[in-house]
Amino acid sequence: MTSLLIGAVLVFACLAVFLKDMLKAVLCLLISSIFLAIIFFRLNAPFAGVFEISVVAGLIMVLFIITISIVGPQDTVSEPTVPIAIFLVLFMIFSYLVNDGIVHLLTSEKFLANSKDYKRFGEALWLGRTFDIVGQISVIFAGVFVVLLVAGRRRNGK
Amino acid sequence: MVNNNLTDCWLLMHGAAALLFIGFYCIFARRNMIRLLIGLEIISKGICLLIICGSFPSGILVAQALVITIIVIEVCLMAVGLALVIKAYKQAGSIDIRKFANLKG
Repeated sequence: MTSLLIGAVLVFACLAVFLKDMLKAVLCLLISSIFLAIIFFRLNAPFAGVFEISVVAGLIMVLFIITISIVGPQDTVSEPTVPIAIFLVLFMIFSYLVNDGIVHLLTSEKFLANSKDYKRFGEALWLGRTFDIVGQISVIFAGVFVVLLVAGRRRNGK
Repeated sequence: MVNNNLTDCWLLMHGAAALLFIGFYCIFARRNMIRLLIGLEIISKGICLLIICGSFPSGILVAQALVITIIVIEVCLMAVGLALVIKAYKQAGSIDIRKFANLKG
């Protein structure tokens, strides 16, 4: 089951890259997000799964679709031919490294230290990652201001 | 639920690595600005999957908090990026990244 789910995520991510129609590409990315959220649920991470579905598969895809509806299909952008073989070789090297050491590093006790102290998700988020919350709020405000500056209408007709 | 055996972790981590390289390929091989943002999105998915399956099951709570932080930052990044895409389209009439190669300041 896990192999089927990760296979579906990879297939739809590839379709999002290679499909020529932008709208279909974004819809494939949405389906890929949903399969990834199912993997999160199966890995006992329901909060991450809910965020993946509601925010990534919902909000971000709406932003993509609004942008595509404004700029149009843009089929005329010519794409260069970059050989996929280079990336396949790099992936095999990286995969070998993952096989060799990174799995043992990530599954060891040192990864995410002090993580066993928390019994509930709220404690881990609010007590353990307080500075992350502050950072998130700052990033949200920064994003809102930048979007207002970039996409807002200028006064005096300029 | 997935059992805590190394096979599932191994499979998911290789899947996450594959997602990373699909995103890298998208960024290197595409010139459409929306495609570049799609590539960033795919890389972000790979990193989230790597964090979640790497911390399964002992540190899953902290890993979820980290993933939520990544998702919030990703939303802001996409909102700003797509606003810039719309602005670039209104300025140049195209979203080909090569047309903006000679920007100066």
